[in-house]
Amino acid sequence: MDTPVTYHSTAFVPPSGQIAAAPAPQASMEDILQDGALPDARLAMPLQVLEPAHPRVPAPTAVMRRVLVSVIQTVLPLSRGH
Amino acid sequence: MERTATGSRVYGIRAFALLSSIGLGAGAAALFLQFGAADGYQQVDGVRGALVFITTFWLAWGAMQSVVGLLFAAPAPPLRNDPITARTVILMPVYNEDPAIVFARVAAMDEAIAQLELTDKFDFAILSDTQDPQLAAEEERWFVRLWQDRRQDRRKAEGQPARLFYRRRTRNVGRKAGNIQDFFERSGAQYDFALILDADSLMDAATIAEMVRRMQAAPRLGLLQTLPRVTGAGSRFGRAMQFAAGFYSPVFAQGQAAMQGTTGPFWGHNALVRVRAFAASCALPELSGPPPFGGHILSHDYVEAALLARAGWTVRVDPDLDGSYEEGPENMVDFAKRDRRWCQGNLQHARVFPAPGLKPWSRFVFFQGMLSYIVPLFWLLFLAANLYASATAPEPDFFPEPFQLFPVFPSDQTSKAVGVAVGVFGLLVLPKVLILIDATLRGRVRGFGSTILAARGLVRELFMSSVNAPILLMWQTRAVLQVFGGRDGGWPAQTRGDGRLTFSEAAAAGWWIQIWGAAMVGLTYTFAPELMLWVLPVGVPLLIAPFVIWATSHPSQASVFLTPEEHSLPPIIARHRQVMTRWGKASEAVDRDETAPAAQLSA
Repeated sequence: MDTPVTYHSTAFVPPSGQIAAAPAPQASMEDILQDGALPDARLAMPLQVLEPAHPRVPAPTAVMRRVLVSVIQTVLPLSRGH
Repeated sequence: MERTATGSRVYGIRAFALLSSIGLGAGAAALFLQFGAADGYQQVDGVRGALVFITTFWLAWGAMQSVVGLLFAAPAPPLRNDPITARTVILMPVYNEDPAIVFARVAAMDEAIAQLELTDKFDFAILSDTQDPQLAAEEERWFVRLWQDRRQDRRKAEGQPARLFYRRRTRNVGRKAGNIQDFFERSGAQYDFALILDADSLMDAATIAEMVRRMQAAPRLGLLQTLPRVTGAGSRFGRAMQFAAGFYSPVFAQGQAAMQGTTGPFWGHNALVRVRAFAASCALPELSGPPPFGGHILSHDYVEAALLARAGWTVRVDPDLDGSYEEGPENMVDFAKRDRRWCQGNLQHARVFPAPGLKPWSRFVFFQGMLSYIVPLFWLLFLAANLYASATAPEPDFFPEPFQLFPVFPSDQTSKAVGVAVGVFGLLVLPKVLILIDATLRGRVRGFGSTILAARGLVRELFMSSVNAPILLMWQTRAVLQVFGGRDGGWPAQTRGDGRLTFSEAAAAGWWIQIWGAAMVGLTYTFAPELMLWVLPVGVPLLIAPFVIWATSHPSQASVFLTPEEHSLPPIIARHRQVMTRWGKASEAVDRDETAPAAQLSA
């Protein structure tokens, strides 16, 4: 229990201010942005089928409305009579 | 190396967890019915019994994940050291973030990779969806800084290709999923694997390399997810969550890993994907109709995991992989904002649930996600049903028969209700206590200071979560009703920073919760005063919601909720700070380290 325990905060206050002085770039910003553009190596990504063209399942909002109506219809006449 | 548990073991574990949860839910419902029907069975008792079953089942299901994690955890595999042959791109999607902090993360990870002499195997791509023009201009300036810092100009001068890329989309079609898809379609063919991060992610180079080796060794592995540790919290709320995530989540993740088989999760970041598997299986269409249920898929990660599994790829979480970090919300308001997005995303999965060809477990995961947001409504309904039942309870009839000589006293079944309440409390507490015992036995507790410090953290976290839960439940309920009402929550940028709220900000966020709390307590006092003691644990936090929101957003003492990352700063976080210092953007908090005896820490 008496062993010293070190606490290092991992919290980080968002910094503000200017970019610190950096060595002068050997190229202009435009050149660097151009050199750092994504490489051209295309890959096809076929769209996946997630829902049938003509869905048989009603929209969740419609389902929710139906559930709410059913709940209200059930709860309102709920009597405590035997 | 396909080390994923498959077959009968997985089905056996799933059945054990599911049947235990159903059994506990049914037991609680039966016990409660005895209490509820003591004065004669009414329809409302049936409703209350059903609600007890659903809510207890849900709690039990959560608890069973930890029990499974403790009982059936797979042993961590030995670290691999085979040579890395695959080419991997590390993707950092960005959306209106502070570019200095985010780009410094890239620099830190690249430095760490360079130290392992693996730079020729890894590239970085910062994929910006930033829409704020001023932030976009800042991003370009900081990319130049990063470029220079990592000596890319020298690399170019030597005729080598660049390894750091930056691209910004002016139209963020499909949000993060669209951002990643755009990258794969443009540049994916150049890589075998892609490590998908978030803007607040940091990962150790050794962890990244180990992930690549594991994926190289498992040709059917389509996605490998790590369990990110939450770091960077400074507020009471943030550090309590950080502690909970660090202390409990590894066990819950072990439980998930044991149950998932080859159909594991994808949490959207800190995960490695096989590029060709992902490209062939995970392009998400826009769902028909408008948001919140139609349009782009908001919680795309779960759907992508399900689609990979549908295509026959293994999706796996390896909880033993440490060195994976993320940040969490610092206050309850930011948590609720994130939860609003997750709520919409999970409920939208109702549209994906019937998608053809999905594995049953994937459908169950969607169902589980939806249920996690709907169950709080059942808790509220349960409270309302109890209030109704109590207010309309018939007067006891001591002489039910005509000409009866002696009175008949109704049997007191209150102990049954108390039993259910104790059981529910047990389901919340027991997994945490078991995790504490396990952590003590395995020595994991050392990272949290000591067994006593961890136990104190557990008790305080339990107290805080008990106070916070009713308030979060109200936000969650509002979110669910908004989504079902057809309101789209959009895609707000993440709030970073210390997260401290003024009292007026907290009051603006929590006044309506206070009104509901007052209504609940007032109605109980008027119509069912005998239920007051049961309602107060929920009612009081609601009544003081602005105070709770405000107080929990303030800085936490170092003495509570110590995590292994605070105990011993991970090298990659230290490296990130060094980069920030080098870039002249270091903050005061960076040097807020403290040393204190354990006795003082536990005060």
